[in-house]
Amino acid sequence: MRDFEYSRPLRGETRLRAELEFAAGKLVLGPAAADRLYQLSLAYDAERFQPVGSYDAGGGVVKLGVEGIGRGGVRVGLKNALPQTAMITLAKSVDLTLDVSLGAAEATLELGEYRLAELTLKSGASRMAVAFAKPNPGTCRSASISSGAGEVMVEQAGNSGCPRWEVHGGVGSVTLDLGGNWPADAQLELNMALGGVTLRAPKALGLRVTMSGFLAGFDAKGFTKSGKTYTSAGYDAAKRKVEVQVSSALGGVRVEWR
Amino acid sequence: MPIGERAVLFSAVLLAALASVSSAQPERERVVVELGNLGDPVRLESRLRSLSDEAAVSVPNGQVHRGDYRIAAGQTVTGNLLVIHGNAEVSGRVSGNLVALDGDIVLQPGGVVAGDALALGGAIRERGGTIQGERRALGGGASVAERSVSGGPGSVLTRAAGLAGLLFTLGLLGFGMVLFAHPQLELISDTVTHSLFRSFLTGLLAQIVVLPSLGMVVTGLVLSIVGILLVPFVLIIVPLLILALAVGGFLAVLHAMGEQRLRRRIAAGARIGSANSYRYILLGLSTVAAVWLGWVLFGWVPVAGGLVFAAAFLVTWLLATIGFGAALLSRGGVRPAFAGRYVPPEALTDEYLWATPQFGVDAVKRPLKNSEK
Repeated sequence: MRDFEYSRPLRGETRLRAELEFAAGKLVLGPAAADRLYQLSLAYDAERFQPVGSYDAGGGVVKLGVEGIGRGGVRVGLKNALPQTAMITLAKSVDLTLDVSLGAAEATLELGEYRLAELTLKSGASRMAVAFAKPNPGTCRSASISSGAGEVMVEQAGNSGCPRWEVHGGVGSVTLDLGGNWPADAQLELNMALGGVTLRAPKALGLRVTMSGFLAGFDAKGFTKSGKTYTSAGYDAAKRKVEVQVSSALGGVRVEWR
Repeated sequence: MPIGERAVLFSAVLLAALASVSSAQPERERVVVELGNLGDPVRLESRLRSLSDEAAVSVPNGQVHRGDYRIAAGQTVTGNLLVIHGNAEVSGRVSGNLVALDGDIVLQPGGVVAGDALALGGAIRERGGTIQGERRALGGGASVAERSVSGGPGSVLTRAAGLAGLLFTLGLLGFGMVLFAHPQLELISDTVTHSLFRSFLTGLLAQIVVLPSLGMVVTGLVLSIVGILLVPFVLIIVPLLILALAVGGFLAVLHAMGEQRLRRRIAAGARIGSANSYRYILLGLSTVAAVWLGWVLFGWVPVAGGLVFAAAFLVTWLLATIGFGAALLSRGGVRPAFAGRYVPPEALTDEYLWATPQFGVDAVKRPLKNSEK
């Protein structure tokens, strides 16, 4: 295992596009120290991977993480892959466009203190926990999650401030907690193949679910059905409403009220 | 000739001789290292470590120092700075990028690096100074190139253990097959022997079409709606079936190779105890082991190790393809169409058929017994 440290001081930047690529291992993302634009602390398997760390000052784009170097080959032996770890911190004061691509990783992303402008999460066979502990002080345009065969859990999605969410699921599971402070009504688009989606919603939130697709299942407890649309009790009186559009082949959608 | 002229002539000859001696000495390797962009520290480290200690290293728009180097307070290094095999201690100012190989970058109070800082095989220690650009530290631990060269003996043991484990597992599977599926093993083995090229072509074709076929079957099942329930079973059972055919076929190839070797030795007059399928499998395994032994021993050698691996992999793939094809041709060892069994096996033993040519020139030349005349 080798260590790699990479950071850049904050020099008045107001926006940052962070592209995080992590092929395998454990990734933790959190807010950076006040004087840093970004920082990567990485322990990686130098036989199979190499660190990614570059910054384009013109476009305000930083690329961080590890990528394979194609030396894996056929390993005849008992040695397992080395446990790679990465701690990435990004400045809280900049408008952040975050693009995360995970291979076979375990990721914990705390996004609650960022001025999030846009979020894209792509996960292969990873386990990813995303939390928005505090409301987004910035303005978010949209959030998108693509999960292949992994597991994705999002906590307090309302705090993200993103009015438009897209979830693309393969065969894994996605749990989306719709709690938090929604600054406006939101739209949620779920495109599922075989996987399942669990929506955890506070009772004060109004939910309207429109189902379309092939053999898609929906647990309609607590909803009123009208054609392909399911409306939650108290939808009209709810302060914040979320429109959910489900397009699924064989996947299922379940709503848990809390 | 006057003494003065002689002295001048002698001096000229001496200088010419000295010049020729100095020009005859090997020239030091001159290397230019660019430090303008530190975005790829792994490549830069690899380049720096590939340099010999005698190499004359220069940095465009900068300086190079070997061993510990200190920039005193008030001192300014203009341009980039490379410190090789030593710490770079900065109390003054570096106006460009700073790189330390096998050493730390120590920023003392008041020390400033105006560009980027990179420590290769070391760390960056801030004690009150500042780095105005990016900071990178690629910590200790051997690089890939170093490990692949210096880690030779250790990696040989690892590979040997891996190969031994794999062969042991194959041996167990082979013995199991001899014990529980001997007729099928014999039939696939005979198919390999008698229809070698056909088996290879069949195996090759099967490898090409297996995934599209599986995809079409799954698509068909999904489209038929009722068949959707079968999709999980197909996705599990078909790959298992293919795996069983591939492993069984490979073991049958080992069996065929062992059988051929042993029978040749018997034909050459060697005294062999008992010729049985267990022995054939072991002999076949030893042949495969010999193929991979080169990789076990020399796999750590750059370039050559890769070539040896590629050769061993190619041979193994050929054998596996032949075995897979033979397993398919014989329908998993139940159809003797390509096994060369023209007469029922119970009528004539293999030993008799081997020692007694039935067809061709050899059969014609064979002296006939009285009863056959």
